[in-house]
Amino acid sequence: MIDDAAGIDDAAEGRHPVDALAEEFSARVRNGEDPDVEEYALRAPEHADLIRTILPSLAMIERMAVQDSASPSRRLLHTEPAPPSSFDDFEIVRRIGAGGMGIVYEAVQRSLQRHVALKVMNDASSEHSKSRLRFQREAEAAAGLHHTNIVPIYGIGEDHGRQYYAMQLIDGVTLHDIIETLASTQDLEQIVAPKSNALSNATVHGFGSSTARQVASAGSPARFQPRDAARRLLNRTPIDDALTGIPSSEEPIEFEVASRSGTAIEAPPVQEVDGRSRSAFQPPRAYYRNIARIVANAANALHYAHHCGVLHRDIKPANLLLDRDGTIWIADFGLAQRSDFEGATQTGELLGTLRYMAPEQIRGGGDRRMDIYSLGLTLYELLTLEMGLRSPKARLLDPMGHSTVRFSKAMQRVIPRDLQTIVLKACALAPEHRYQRANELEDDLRRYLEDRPISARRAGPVERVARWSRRNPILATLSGTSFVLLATIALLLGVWNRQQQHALERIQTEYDRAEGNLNEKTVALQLAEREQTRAQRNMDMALEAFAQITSNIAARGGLLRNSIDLEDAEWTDFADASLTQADVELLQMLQQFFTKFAEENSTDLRVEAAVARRRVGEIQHRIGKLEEASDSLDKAIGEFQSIRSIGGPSQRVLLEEILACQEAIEVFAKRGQMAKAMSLFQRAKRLFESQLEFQSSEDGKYAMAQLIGCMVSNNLRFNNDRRRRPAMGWLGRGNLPSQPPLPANQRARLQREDDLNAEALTLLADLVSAHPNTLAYRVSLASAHKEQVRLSRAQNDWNRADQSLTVAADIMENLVREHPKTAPYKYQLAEILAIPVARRNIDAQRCARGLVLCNEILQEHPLVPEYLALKASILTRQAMLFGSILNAPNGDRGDAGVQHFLEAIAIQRDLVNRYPEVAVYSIVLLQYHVQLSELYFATKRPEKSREIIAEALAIAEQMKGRGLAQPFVKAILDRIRERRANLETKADG
Amino acid sequence: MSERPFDPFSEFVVNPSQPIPPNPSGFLGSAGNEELGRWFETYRPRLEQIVAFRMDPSMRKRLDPSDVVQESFFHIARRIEEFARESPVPLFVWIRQRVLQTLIDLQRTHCRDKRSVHREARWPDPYSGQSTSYSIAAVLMDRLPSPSQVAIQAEEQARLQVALDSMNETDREVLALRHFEHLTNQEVADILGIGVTAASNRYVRAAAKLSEILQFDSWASRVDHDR
Repeated sequence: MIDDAAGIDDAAEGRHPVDALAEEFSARVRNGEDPDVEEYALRAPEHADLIRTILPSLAMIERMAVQDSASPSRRLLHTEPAPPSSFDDFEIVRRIGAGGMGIVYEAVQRSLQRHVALKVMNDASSEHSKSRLRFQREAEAAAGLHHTNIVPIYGIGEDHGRQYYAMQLIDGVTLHDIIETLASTQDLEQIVAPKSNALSNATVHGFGSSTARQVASAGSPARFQPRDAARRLLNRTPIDDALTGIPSSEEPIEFEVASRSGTAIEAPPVQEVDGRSRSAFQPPRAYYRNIARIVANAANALHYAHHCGVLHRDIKPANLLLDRDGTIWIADFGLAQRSDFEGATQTGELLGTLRYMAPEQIRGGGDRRMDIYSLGLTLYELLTLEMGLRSPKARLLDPMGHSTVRFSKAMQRVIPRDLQTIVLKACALAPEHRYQRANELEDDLRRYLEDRPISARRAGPVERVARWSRRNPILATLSGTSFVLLATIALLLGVWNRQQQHALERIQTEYDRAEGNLNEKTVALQLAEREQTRAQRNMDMALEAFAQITSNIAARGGLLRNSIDLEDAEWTDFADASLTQADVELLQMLQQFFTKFAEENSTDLRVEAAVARRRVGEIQHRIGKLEEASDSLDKAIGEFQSIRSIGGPSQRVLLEEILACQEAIEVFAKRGQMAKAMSLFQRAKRLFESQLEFQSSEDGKYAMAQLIGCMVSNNLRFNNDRRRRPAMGWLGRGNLPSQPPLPANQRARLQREDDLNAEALTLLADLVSAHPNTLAYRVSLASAHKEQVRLSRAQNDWNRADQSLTVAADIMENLVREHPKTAPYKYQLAEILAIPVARRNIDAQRCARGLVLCNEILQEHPLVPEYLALKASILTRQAMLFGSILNAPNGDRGDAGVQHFLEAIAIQRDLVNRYPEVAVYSIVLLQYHVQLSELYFATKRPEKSREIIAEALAIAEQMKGRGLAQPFVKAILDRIRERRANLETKADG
Repeated sequence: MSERPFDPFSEFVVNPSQPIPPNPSGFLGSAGNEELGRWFETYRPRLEQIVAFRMDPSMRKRLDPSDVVQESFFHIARRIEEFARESPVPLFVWIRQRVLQTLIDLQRTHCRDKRSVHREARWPDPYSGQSTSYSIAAVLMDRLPSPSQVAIQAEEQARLQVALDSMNETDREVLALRHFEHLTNQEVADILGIGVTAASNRYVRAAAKLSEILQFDSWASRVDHDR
């Protein structure tokens, strides 16, 4: 019926036709008549329903309002008998407010001469002895709560047959008031910049400001208004740091007119009545941070209360107070009781509260997690200024069906994703999907405040799919399920990898559009056919998502590989060291997708299914499940072979098979099974060479080049690992790059690999000359040259290493020149330039260029962890070069080196804080510490040196405590201790 | 005041014999105040009604609406030239704002004098969303129902109050302006600064919403009793 009312114009008057009828009807009621609703319904039959709906309500209002209102002296208070002037020790000063269960007064406690708030329960609430007992018990429990953010209860009692409790009087406003104030303000500037507003208002409201000034100058503090509180929240000053209230002189007195008399003149009426068309609330960043802070504090208080065994049961904005100092207070702890709802319904408490109740609470159950739900909803309203859940009626009927909180598209754009995720988790439908304890909610909010990744994950994808499938049994076919999974993946990627958010949103849009097109165009298509197309598209999207994730991981892994000293370390011990928690979860979800896909399509889409199987293996590999990865890849390769044997080898199948082999080789290498890796490599190579067409094709050449690159680098690494102990700097081993001469068998092996890499270089060079516009080939060529650098270094052929590096760098320099806006090219170039190969002054020049590049990309993308990590790494390279130039660094150069290290450590520590679960970052941080300690030692500052070593030990212990990369960390710890011992002896000597 | 019962039916609301707002320039010069006085007297009953409605409940024992309106006249008279020159809104709307401003100033003065009132805190009152809500609650609480109707009235009051409280600020305000302040649609439009059509649509929509909530409310209490 509301829709019915919207937008109908009476052309003659410009008024809604029902308006005029309603006005006439109201006037008659006011005049003492009892007009017939049906008469009005007949007068405008086209709006009869609307008329029948609204006129009785209007009659009700009028009957209420028609009494002689203008003579206060003659008023009788029927619903609220005149309160006794005192309850026991408390003398009533004034009424502050009324709720469903009682009335709140300001009172003075005579014995202590302090002002308190006194909540006196309604008679009705006190009637049942059962509820009375319960009230007593709960109030006693609540009185035992002592927390900075809980309004303290001073005492409870009973007098005049009514129960009451006394609590601290808080100088604050409720979040409810703040939300209302913000929601009714069209222009936030009005709140944020009160002075200018007061000026403009003065011209309208003019007089009266003199009175206001008197009030202000008299020094009596003005009442703390919702508006002041709102301003505090919008203010950049963190709310925790605020110690004093807002000076009363700043207070725009004139505002009161506006707020009291309606929206007054200055408010442009953009807001639709139902609030739906209001543009999303767009406060400054500071607002979100302040909100997160106060809700985190509230969660802390809640956790404390829960810990003490007290539930609140009625968390809502109206029960949370913000005081002048920016402290949040939870009021009415443990006082809402289910047994009171009956009484409360009549006075409407239930209605106000119902909106914030967890679904299980409406049904009559609930534990601490219902409070978490309600606090989550409160956070939602603070973020959006809109009710999280509307329709209380529907909620009562079907709590589960109407308790899901959603962020509109517009909201999603403005509200920080982490906060959205936190709300969604706190307000999950099932209690077991929420934060289980209030302090977990608090922790996540603090993580948001500290810009750390939050623990909440957007939806439990598996459960969500499962539940979704149960609800939509028909739709939950292959494509349906897959799509939900993929949508979730896209969402997750968006949350965690802001960098890629746009890319994925594009994918999503594309996907949606394609889906739409498909539905339109293919009505005629067979269902099966359509499903197949859709499945294929799902696959494409999943692959794209996968590529996004792996490119991230690869960048982090590359960092470790490139890291000078750690190049030799047993980094293969922890395949998952460079994964963030987010990566792992995403990958696991993708794995599910691919597995499901492979199973469901093993007959219809055989190739796709095999590809999916390969991806499963790839993912298992990435998350460190090497054995399972071997298995999956084996299956995939077998499947490709069988497809080949039936339908003959298509280019696509060959390509996929070679890719699967490449992955399997990686896995074998990581498991130390180099013989298997080599034999698989040989087999793949033979396959490649037997297929002439494929061999000469673009894809074939590229795949083969990649395969060779993979084999070479793994072999190289594997043998290096065996040959050397990880070196941790100058004290551990001589200065780089001195190497022991190679044994003959090693030389022969390296020569073979050299030959192989030469093959790859030839293939790639061919590709580049044939397809100069395919940038990927050029990048790969540069990579192959980079591999050559490593090979030459291993052979102690420094000239050749230098030459290869020059070539690799030239290729990348060209790419950077042609595409100056593409950050990844700059990144790769900088990475190449940081490899030490030549005389130190040349290396130093290259490092300097690398640093410039890093700074350039960081200017564009200041938060990308890979870029930051590379910068830190180059800084330490430079520092070490300074050191080496003088051999015994001292003076200015030594100091410059120290400065570089300190900067690098600061960057790296930041990364470790942001991604505590990524072992690589911590390991590199350790490495920098060790190196800096050596630099200190070399510049004759043993004290500093010891300090830094101690810090390193602390970090390593921390890693151990977190269970990161266990065996490796243990080894590192040993080595750091050893180094410390060395340091002591050398210092003594 | 009781000897001056306000009868909006005959005077303002339905019957469009509502006086046509005077030409602002008529308030300029020496005759201005006299003209204002005449208009002010016409508006006085309505203004007292509005003041009574908007007054802070804690002030009712100290301030009389007629005194507030009287007091405001002096302020208004001093500023009438301003209105005559700029006339940003129709006369009645302008006077209403000035009267409400006076009310606020008086309340503030009392705050300062009487240390007990509003000195320290506001309680988390679930109904104190904004002042309108407060005022409505107060009016409803303070009504004197006829003895025969006490029981029904009390229940209706509670229901109505709850329903109004659960509405959003704008809806509540529109209903308050129309039914508690007895303003016309035109005046509501002027106060909100929107068109007549928009104001009217908004009002009807708010009324529809209220009805919906009221229906639910009675329904909900039934459910609760059944339990």
